[in-house]
Amino acid sequence: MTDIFIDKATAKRLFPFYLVLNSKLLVVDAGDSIQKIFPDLIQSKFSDKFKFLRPGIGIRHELESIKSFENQIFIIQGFANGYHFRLKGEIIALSDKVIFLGSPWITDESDFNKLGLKLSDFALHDSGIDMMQNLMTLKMSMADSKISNELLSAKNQELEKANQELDRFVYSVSHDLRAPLASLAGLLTICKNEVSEKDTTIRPVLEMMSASIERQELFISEILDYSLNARKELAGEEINFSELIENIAADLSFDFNTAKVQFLREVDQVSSFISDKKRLKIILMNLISNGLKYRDRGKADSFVDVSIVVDNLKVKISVKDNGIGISTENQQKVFDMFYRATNISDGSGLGLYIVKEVLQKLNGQINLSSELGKGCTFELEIPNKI
Amino acid sequence: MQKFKKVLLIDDNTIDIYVNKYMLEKAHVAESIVSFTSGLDAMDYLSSSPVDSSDLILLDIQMPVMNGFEFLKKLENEIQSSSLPKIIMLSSSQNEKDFSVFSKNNLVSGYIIKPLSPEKIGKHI
Repeated sequence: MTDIFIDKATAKRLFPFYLVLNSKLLVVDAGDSIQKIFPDLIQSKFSDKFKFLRPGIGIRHELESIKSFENQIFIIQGFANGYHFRLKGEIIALSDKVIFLGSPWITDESDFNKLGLKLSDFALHDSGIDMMQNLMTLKMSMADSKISNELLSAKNQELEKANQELDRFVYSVSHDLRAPLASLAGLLTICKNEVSEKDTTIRPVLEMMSASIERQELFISEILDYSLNARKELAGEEINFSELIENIAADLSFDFNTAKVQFLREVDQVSSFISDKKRLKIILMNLISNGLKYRDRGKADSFVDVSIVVDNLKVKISVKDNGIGISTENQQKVFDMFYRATNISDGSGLGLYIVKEVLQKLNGQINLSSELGKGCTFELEIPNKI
Repeated sequence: MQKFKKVLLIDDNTIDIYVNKYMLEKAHVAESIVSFTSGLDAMDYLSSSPVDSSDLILLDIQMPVMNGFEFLKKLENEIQSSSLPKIIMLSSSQNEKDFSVFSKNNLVSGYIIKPLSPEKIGKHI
């Protein structure tokens, strides 16, 4: 076997931070990189530049003492450029000298920068290089994430502002858009009051004007419902379905009476139920008034039949009518925004779209079954948030 | 329906004043009706012509210069509670925030969504 010969240049390349101490512990030789840190290193006393951090106990600045710690990890601390740094390595004990083989112990990027070192000052096999690269990547990704955090918080502020503006907008829609309609409706009431009971020209026109205003008001309230659903956080409160359905019945009683439609309802609630009352009301109100709007005027026994069954997991709601029904090809489309399947009523095409959107917020599902001319049934399931 | 001595209509919208006055007159709600297009005008009037519990104020919410809320505050400071008239708020919108504010205010005894109609007069006044 041939001895492997390592010349000085190769040694310097392999260990750019090596130190050779003679018997008086003078530094007699050293790697280029350590000399970069201490330009006056050669022939200076080791103890003027370094101290032992490890081994900590029992080591003295004497050749024999140092030699006795061969085969242990050495950590020596130096002081340069106003900065403490550490070298980690081991010693090779020769008869009249010791060789320290090691390199800077890097735990932080600043360790590297403050010593004025470059990556090329390290041997390629040195794990310090990997460490450095990791630290630099980390620093870059931290800088990146700082930038994205800043972007995120700026976006959040923008969103918050947009939300507040939307709140004001909704308030002004609900008020300013409606106020002139309310004035008009009042004026129309006066007109109807002043026009003779026998009049057949002006009175129908006034009624049509009232109907137009009502339609516009409905549209505004639908837009408000939509915006409320899109914007407001989900609320959770105890729902008494009998109470809720009776409220709706009271709100719609005038319409049910004038349309001569029977409003049947049955509630079976033994378990308590937690959900968002406003949203539930929007859903029920839309489905029930649809049943009313799309009644079959040719039938004498028109009805809307609501049945509600609550258990501790969910509520099952069915809204059934014997109205005009929805053809198979229209059954998917009726949930689309602004889609209207019929001209029989002057709906806005928003009602079922809103129902779908609101249900999505409540994690609910809806199923429609219908036959043209027979009526339709909407079946809903909404989870109980109890 | 209660019969009042005097009704004060406070609304910046003159059309609404016209409509409301018509409805109140038709329903014979009061012996006299006076109207103001701002809360300030109404306050001026009150300083020379006091009101009492036999009177009614119909108060709009959204008004420039002094809105319905501000008018109520001023009224509370300047009039003894024993001589407070009945106060009903009028609004074009069913705004929940307004509604909850007024339902907590014990000066206010009702809230009517415009327009005023014979049915609403019968129900709330």
